[in-house]
Amino acid sequence: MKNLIIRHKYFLIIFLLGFSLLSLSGCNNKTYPVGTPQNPYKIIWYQFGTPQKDLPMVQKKANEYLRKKIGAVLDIRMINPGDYNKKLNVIEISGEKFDLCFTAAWTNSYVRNAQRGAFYPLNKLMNKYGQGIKKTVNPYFLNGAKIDGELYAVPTNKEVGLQIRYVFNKKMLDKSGFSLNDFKPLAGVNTLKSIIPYFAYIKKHYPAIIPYGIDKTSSFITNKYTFIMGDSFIPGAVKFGKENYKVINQLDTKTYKEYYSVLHKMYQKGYIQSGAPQLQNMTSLMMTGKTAVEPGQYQPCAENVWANEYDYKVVTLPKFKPVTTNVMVEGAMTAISINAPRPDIDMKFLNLLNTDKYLRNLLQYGIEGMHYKKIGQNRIKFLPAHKSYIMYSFTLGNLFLTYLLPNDTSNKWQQFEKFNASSTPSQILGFHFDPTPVSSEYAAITNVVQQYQAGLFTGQMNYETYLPKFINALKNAGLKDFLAEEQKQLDAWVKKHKTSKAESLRHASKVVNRHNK
Amino acid sequence: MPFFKKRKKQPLEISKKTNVVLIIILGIFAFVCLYPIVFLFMISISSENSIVLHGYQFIPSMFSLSAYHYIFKIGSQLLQSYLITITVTVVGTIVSVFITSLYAYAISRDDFKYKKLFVFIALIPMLFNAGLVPCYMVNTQLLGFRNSLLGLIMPLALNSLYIFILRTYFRTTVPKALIEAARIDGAGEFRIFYKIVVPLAMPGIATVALLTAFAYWGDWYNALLYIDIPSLTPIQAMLMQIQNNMQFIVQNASALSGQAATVLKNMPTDTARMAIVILATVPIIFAYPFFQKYFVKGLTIGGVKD
Amino acid sequence: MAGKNVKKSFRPSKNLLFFAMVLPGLIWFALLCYLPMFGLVLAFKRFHFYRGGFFESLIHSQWVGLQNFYFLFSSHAAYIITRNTLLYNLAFIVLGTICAIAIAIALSELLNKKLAKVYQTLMFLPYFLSIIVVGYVLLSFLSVDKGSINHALMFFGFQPVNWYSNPGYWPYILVITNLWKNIGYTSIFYLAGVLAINKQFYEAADLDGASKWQQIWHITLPHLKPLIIVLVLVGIGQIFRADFGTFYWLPLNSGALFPTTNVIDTYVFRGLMDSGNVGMTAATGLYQSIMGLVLIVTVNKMIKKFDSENAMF
Repeated sequence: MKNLIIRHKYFLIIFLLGFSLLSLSGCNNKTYPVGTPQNPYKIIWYQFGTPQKDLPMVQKKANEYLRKKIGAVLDIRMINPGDYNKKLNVIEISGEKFDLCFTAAWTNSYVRNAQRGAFYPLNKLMNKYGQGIKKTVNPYFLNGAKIDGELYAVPTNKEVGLQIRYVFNKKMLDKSGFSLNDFKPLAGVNTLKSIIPYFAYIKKHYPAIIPYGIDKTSSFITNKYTFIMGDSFIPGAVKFGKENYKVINQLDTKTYKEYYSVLHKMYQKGYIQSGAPQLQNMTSLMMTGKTAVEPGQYQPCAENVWANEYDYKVVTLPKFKPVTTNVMVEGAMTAISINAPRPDIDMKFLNLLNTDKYLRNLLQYGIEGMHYKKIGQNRIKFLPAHKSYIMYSFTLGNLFLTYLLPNDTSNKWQQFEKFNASSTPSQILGFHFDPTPVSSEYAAITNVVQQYQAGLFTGQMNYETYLPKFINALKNAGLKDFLAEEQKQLDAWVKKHKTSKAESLRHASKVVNRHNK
Repeated sequence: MPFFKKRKKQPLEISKKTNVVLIIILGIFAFVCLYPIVFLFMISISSENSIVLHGYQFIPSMFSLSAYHYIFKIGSQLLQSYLITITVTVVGTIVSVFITSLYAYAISRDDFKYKKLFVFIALIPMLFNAGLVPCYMVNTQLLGFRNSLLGLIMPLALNSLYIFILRTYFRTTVPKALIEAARIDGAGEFRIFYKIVVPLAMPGIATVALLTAFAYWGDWYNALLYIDIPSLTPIQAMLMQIQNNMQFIVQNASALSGQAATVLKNMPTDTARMAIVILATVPIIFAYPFFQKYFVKGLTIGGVKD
Repeated sequence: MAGKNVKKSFRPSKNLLFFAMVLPGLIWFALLCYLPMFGLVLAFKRFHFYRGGFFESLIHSQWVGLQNFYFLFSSHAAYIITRNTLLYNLAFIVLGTICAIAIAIALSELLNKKLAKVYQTLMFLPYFLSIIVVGYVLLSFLSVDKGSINHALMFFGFQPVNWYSNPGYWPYILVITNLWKNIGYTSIFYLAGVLAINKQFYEAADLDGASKWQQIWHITLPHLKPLIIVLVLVGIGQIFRADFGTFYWLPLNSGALFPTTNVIDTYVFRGLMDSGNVGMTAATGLYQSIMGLVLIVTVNKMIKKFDSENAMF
């Protein structure tokens, strides 16, 4: 034995040295667990937006704060809007490890990803670490975004009601001698009809101006129906209102037929640009002053925002009272990846982000004194360095925490709350259809819809000849089975939620009223 | 005494009449190919206002370089992107030509015992694609392509089509007798390849090299997948990002909640889109003359008597 | 220690050297093409995420057999998209080859070599233009109210045509545009092939009194035969795959044109874009690959019967 040790003494010395070195290096981390200020957890966050030059600087400042508060640091990776959906899809499916990502109904699809298990279920986590979120985020969001009773992403507190308004170029309107009072607000199709005399006037006196500026993406959103797939083009809707749970094909209803007819007449008279079905106007027509009226999705104080962009004032005419639908509730959310190593710390961070005014504004506007300066208790003004740090507000959580800008009205957020409170929730809020059992039909139907959509909704096609063809093609694509599956899933959901739904809605309106006091 | 020297018709040439006809026909086609680029260039140097007022015009009513200014301002790292693209193109082309021509040559030789196997190995990937996600997984988690020049060079380094085309060139331009003679003289396979085959098949190799260079130059897909950091973004991806961002900002202005105003007001959207096309397309044209001289090289050597 | 006196020269066998030549390519194929192919099994699964990464998810996802393939055959549209895909690709292959060869020969015969170089460079430009941009260029020609063609038509007293609502014109529009975009690219292959033909063949034929056309038919084309076969076969192997850009962006994604512009790849993109069904996407790719394989093997066998030397494999 002694010989053995002596013969291999050099080896043993090296071995012992190495071992002690290793244990020494691990010493620091061994005494401090992950998630503490001395050993902060790195949160990898895939964000939506162009990479900003000053992001590293702002992130560093935020990390100083976060390290102390929750023992974590951020690693924000920004992905360009044009690439975001595709890139996130690949990242998620390939199992790459990350913590947070932006998700919405319109990108990195919240519902699809939640249904296939890409996101971490949040109910338990939120109860434990996200109480702040539960208190501040409008319950419509929190309940409406639940899929089979489980929430899979934290919604951004913002406007929850969907309202379409007709936006008028004020200068043109004033010059023409018309006024908003000449038109009929809140009447759906009839609102549009009431504007026709104005269109005629514009067409006659300003031939270079397009009276009604829509392009091929134009859709018909009505508050008469609420859509199963959230997309107004895909067949499957129920009549908006209390206990309507019968699924129908909305594209073939009287309301829609009336709309097609009005649009077609308008197109023939030249109130809609003739290239509309091919055009996806990169520059908003309103912005270039080329159009008199344009439909727009409203949010409180939007007139100010739009006036800023368009360089002229606008006035708006609402088409219907605001409604709250699934799509609105899923407008902007942040999800935790199913593969996140420490979802608890992620939730702690999200809780902080949605309640801590300092952090929220730091990430939104940058560093005070550098990117902006304060001109009031809750109001700021941008400094020139601002252009090196521009972040989309909806990607960062609770909007109501952010500072006001010089052009905002003082009660901007209160107006949002009021708007939200006045918005009627759809009776199928929270129902999320899973098209997997009918994926063949869904693929075929989508193709048929895209074939006829632009022509019908820009008024180019005469619906009397084309609508029958459209409906026939839908039938051949499996419309019957598709609607039947939608009905089946809806019935199952209603059964499960009927009692608890009424309760949660009552609770929701109580909370909302509390907000308003 | 004749005023001009009448050029004696070379035996293999076409008649002057045919020549003129060809010049006209080919000329029309070449013009049709050139016209859109010139048109786009004209749009890119129009002022945005004239586009708004008069639409696209071949000769703009108002000139302006604001589109280029905007792009150079926004893409302050445009130079870096060009550098990345050039590096990737040069290195990638060299690597690709090397691997491709060796492989193609080996399978062009009938006396390679495993020829059939390696033909098969090159054929299958031309037909079967594993799919985006599995490839992405292997490339990022195993091969380290993420945010690395590898991710820009390796995916395009080999192309089965080029392997088969080069194989055909080798077969048709290099007579078997020549190779046999060299072998008898004691030359090794690599030497034969380098000294005999390559010079003879130069037009083919130059062709493949040129097209590979073009592929590298125009690639934005791999950058989209593997590159997040601006300092490694090649020019096509960078330009596409600028365009996508402009488009997104415009279409979602209200979502920017007031910040958009500053950004939107001065964006030369239409003209910038065309300027982007010009910046992405034109530079590579200059690579063409560089390769053209290799086309001719093979010709002169081909005249050597066996 | 006894040293070796005679150094035996190491002469590696011919096959070993050849193997060394294919080795880099082999490694590339193995890592970038064959290794990821385990993912093809995705076509038979209903993908669901499981904590642990892609493998875990793949293994635990439900096996659904051929279900992901149904949508390619079951709907009414299946016939149309398949027909469109095949017919267009056939037109591209046949017309593309003929035109590219014609141009290559013409370029090689031009007396003015400098002009030929200029032409060659210019013909390449369309290849680089992004297909989206080409779509907008087309719009400037075909727009119903602002397009130059309609302006010209009206000038001569004809009625303007609504190009984007009339599917009947688009087979021609798409084939011509596709040719315009790709001929410069394809003709390069043939040009290199033509240039490599030994001049002595032509000299001999000329001495025999052959005309230019006869020379082309009996010398140039036969020499190009192996190249033509390779390019055509490759095209056939891809005949179930349509170029997405051509059929989506050129018609500006116009619904009214679907009967003649919707192909397998665009159909799948439109149908699956929202549902993100990766299994179905993978199934489509696999279907296109298998059909391509069957065709390419069949045609190659047929070629072998007539001309075994020039068959591809």
